[in-house]
Amino acid sequence: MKKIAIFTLMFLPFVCFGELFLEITKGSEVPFKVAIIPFEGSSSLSKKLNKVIRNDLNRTGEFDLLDASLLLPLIVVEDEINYRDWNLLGMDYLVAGNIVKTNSSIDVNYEIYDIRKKKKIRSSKVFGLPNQLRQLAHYTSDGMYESIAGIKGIASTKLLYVHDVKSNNLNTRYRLMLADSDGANEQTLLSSSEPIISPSWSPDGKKVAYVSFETGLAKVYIQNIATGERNSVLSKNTQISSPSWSPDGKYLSLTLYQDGNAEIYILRLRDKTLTRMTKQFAIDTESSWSPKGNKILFTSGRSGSPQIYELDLRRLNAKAKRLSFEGTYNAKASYLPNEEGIIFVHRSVNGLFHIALKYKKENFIRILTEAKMDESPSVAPNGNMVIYGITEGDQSMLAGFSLSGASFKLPASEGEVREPAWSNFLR
Amino acid sequence: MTANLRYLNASFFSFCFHAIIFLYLYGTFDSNTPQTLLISKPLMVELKFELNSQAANKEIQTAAKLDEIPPLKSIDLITNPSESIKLSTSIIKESLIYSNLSDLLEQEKNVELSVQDEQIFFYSQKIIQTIEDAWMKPRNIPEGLVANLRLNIQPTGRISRVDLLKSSGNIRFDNSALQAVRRVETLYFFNEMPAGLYSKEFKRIAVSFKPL
Repeated sequence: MKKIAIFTLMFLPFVCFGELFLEITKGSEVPFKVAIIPFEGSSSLSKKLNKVIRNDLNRTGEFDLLDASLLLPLIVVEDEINYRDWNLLGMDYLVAGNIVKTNSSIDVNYEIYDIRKKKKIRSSKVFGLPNQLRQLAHYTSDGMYESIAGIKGIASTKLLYVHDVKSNNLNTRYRLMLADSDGANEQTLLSSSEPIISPSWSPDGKKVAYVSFETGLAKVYIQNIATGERNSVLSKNTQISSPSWSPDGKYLSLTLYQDGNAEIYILRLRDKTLTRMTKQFAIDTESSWSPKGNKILFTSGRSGSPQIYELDLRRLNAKAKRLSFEGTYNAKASYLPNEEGIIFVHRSVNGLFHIALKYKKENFIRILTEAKMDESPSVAPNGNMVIYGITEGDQSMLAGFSLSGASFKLPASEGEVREPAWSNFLR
Repeated sequence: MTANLRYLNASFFSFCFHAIIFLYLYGTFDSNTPQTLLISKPLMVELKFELNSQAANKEIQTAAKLDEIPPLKSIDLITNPSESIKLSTSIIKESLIYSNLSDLLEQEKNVELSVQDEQIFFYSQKIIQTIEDAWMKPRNIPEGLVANLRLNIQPTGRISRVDLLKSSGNIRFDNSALQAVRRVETLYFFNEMPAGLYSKEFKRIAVSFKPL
């Protein structure tokens, strides 16, 4: 009798929790169809604003925007929306809004309607300043992206990159640039006659670290974006390069050349203590941190060719784990958010350099770009977009793609643009 | 006194031990294990129902035949044939009625059950269809991702709560699943559903996103 009682007790929970279990196996891969009715306001303003918003959403690859020329700017009243007509047009969402301009501010009010649900899903107001129209447009498009796609948008984040311009007397000017995520609104953070390389963001987006050759040797500097104040992080008499900020902002991983070859060190910024992470006869460089800050990725030549390795920082004397096995050149890796995979530069069999993605679960790589000389990818904080450098003819510029399939180029400017770095979310 | 204490100790430990076992089995320590009840099951039951009914019919016939024979034999001994026939027919009729009644009752139960299964299947398909229509599967995701959600649904069909039971490990995939449910928001066909069915099966359901 007792045994029976125990058995019934054991199986009781299974009976209690037997809930219906449904499996969803098919989903569409078609982008969301969205109609954005041009925002009404003073005409020059609204034209510019609408253009920036459309551009932001198109770059994500997750939106199929209805051609703006088909839509008249009209005032949308919630009760008068004919959902059936929009549905017949194949639209998933309808966005309408207006611009309110006063002397001291420009605000945008917008509403998003779900055509399937036949109701309003978002009503927002974005406050802006007259001289920051682009920023206002970026915030607006981020709001739309978040409501429709469900994850945070990155239109309002920033980019760092290096811009080299050859002047007439063949001297090159090297400039460290800061720009919006669409490449507009450029600002020069530093201009130098000696090369600048490897810009890197602090996690709070207030400082940048980079390598400058202004003293003749490669040195890492930290610069405050707002104040322009800059300091060399280590006054050692060796080459120091490829800085990368830890996610908590307390450490900087660096490559130091003091041991005869390049080795990776971690610098605690508070008291400038250095910890050596790699001990190898081969070159170890290009470190980058995992989003949780417990691992670093780096490129090492220890196997005879550059390959990507991962080091677990929580364990003492941990051995670096090799992650890339495809081909003879894999470098400049960074993690996707969530650490589920890495994005890196891969040289394919025909000698061309591509940006590739490798998921940890999978034993093959996915090549994501098709140009010839793709370099230094940087992943957007929402993990959906990657920006990288391309070379077209004799010009190098920045291009990007979203994992959802869209690709774009940032407006080209004179000279060479290279080594982009995508900031964290800045709000 | 000492014996008493020991007894107390033993019973206390035994209580703890059993409580832990019970909690473990109840799922307190592991909330990420949804019970897998496949949809294909109701389908199978539906098929069985047809077979069952045929089998049941056969059984009724054989039962009736079996009933038929012995009373006839016993009545044969009686000299009055006309009465015997009457008797036997009445007995046969009665036995047929009885056997039919009990079988019919069982059949009715079966029919009820299978109708319910059919309804569960029907509404499950409807839910799946609705969510699939709303789901935008992200591209460039690793193969073999699975995300399980639990939906709490109100009688009106409004999805009042979504829990991520098991993450796929991919942010974009998890998010697309959650967003699909958010896009659905209300399952309008719930107001056609029999009330008993709702409270029994569709109050809380688990949904697994598992691209082929």
